[in-house]
Amino acid sequence: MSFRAEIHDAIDEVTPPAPMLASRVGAYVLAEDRVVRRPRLGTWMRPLRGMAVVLAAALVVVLLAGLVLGGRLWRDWNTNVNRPIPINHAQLKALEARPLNLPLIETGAPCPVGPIVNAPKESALGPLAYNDGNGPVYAHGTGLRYGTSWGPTSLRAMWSSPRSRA
Amino acid sequence: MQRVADSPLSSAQPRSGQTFTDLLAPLVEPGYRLACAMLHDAPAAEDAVQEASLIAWRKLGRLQDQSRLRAWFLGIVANECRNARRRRWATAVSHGLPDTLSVISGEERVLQGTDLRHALRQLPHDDRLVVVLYFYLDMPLPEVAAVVGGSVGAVRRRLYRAVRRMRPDIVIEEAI
Repeated sequence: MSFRAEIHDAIDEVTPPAPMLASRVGAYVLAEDRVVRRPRLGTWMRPLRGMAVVLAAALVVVLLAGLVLGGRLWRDWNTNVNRPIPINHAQLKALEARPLNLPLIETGAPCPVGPIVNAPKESALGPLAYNDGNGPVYAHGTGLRYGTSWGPTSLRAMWSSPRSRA
Repeated sequence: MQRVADSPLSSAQPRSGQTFTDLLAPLVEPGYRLACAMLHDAPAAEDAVQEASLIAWRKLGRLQDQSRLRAWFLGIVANECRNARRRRWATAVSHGLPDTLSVISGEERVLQGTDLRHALRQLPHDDRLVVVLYFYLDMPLPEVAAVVGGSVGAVRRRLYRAVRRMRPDIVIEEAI
């Protein structure tokens, strides 16, 4: 007996005849196909489906653009705002070594009030800005206070007329 | 190669009971024999063929070459058999040999058949598939290769290996 015949005999023993199987399977397939097949979309639905696709695509584009712009803003913020300002330690030492000459005011003496003058026309602050001092160096303060690692700091600009340098 | 332009496979044509009778009905019986050989369980084989027929019916329009219909359909049946075995493994302990034999034969022949089926069950799915297709459904090697999706050489090597595992003492050249 050949190997092929042995295989036939062995498998035939567990393969009972199924004469009606083809017709049964055919009925099952056709019935299932009718049940599962979805109805076609009506003609009035097609434009809505197209609009939904366009809307979805637009949302995706907006989302991607927002991610890109947000990422750039976040990066710039981290780069420019939160960046620690470098300190020139040599310059700092030199400034700290200079004597601090502050006028002394005796107890009970009247408060000396410095003159307030109009800024010269060449001032970058414009003719309406008021500044302290007689010149040629003027003090200009914004009054804004900042919190720094050195404590509360008031920004005060000192400037002079270019003509006075000459 | 027969194209689908005016063949019953064209998805543009409405498919009917007649289309099923013309195309798939003749393949149900070989599909059932394949499933029985793969599963050794007639009710499970019928279920596998039924599900495979439904899948084939729904995908019939995608088949480009009608001459490949039998190989394509048997490939779907083989996949369903693999899924059925997985489901069985997940839900029940393997029963080993089949409980009932439908044909009463001589004692020695029954034992020989039982041994052979047992050896067949021990083969991996793909090895068992090529053995069944080649030796039981008597398909030529190129068609077996089309069913399993490999080359003729690969199928021949797989057959050698499978037969050697089932019957280490057999002369391979006589078997194949």
